[in-house]
Amino acid sequence: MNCFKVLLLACVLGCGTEQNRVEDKNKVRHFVQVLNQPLKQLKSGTADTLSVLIQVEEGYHIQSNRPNNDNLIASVISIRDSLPFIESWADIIYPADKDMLLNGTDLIRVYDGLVKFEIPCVVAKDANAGSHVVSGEIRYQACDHDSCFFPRKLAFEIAIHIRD
Amino acid sequence: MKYFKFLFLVMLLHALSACSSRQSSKEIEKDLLTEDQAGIGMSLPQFRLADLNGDTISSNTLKDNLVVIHVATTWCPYCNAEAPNLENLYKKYKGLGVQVYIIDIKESKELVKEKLQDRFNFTFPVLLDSDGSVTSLFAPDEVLPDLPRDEIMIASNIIIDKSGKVVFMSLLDTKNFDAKLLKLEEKLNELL
Repeated sequence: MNCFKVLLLACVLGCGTEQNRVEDKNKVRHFVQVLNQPLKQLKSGTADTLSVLIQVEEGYHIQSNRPNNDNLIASVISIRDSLPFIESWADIIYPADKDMLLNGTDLIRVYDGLVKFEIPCVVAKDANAGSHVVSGEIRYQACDHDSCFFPRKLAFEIAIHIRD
Repeated sequence: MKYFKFLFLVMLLHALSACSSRQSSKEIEKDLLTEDQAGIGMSLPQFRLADLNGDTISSNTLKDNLVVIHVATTWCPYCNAEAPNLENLYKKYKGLGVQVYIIDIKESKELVKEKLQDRFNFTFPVLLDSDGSVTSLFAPDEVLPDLPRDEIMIASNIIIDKSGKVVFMSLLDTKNFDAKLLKLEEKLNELL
């Protein structure tokens, strides 16, 4: 009887493992992770710069924001919605890219490792003091030296605190 | 005491079961990749896809012919590097009865026309697999199981022989990537 119980339990647990593998298969791998940053302090009525920091997985790269081939997909940062506490946004400052030669292809411009995007803005004079969140997304297309992957989007949030 | 023995046995059996299935799956994947046998021998899946002119191409259309299929997207640097060589290959082999097709995955007809057809002037059909479902049918189960099935086929080349069997499949990796299509041509010569 005990033996039967052991076998039954092992089967049930084994099925669980299989289920986990099926779920893994359906997960989307991102190849990129948005890193948390300390709370950004801003003052109403002043110009400042927010930043988005991402980590591209080791061994992978993403196309830069200015690919040298029209067909490639540029990395693009976008901010969701207009925010009442931000008076205006300036153009996003994309970091310097690197040239990379993939096997059999032309040189391509890429980002890898730790990548920082800067987003200049002017905080509204009448912005409510306190904590706010700026949310947006990065669209990118990742490759490694073996394969290229479908373009992906990854959401990010920047926690800010506005003081008078 | 009995209870602990029971628990120990359960844990041991579970650990063994998980390890063995993971190991066997990895071993199969490794074998398939190292021996370049992934997908070889599979039958041409049943499908119907429209080309850029709106004509429907089905697996029946491909029957009794030697067929080369390249799976592409407009943004894939490997596909772009290979494109001119694919057109040259078609021109060289069409008189020998070889059919060439591109299957583009998950992109609009307009984009594919602008970024692939108008840029590379293919004289063979470019088929549109708008949801990737047809491309997924070609994907060997054991290769890169943690990625979507259509995704692992990006930039791959396939040869289907006259009996409808896959006789060549180069999944993209640095070992296999062959922008000039030399290995594919070698296989075609062998089959003709």
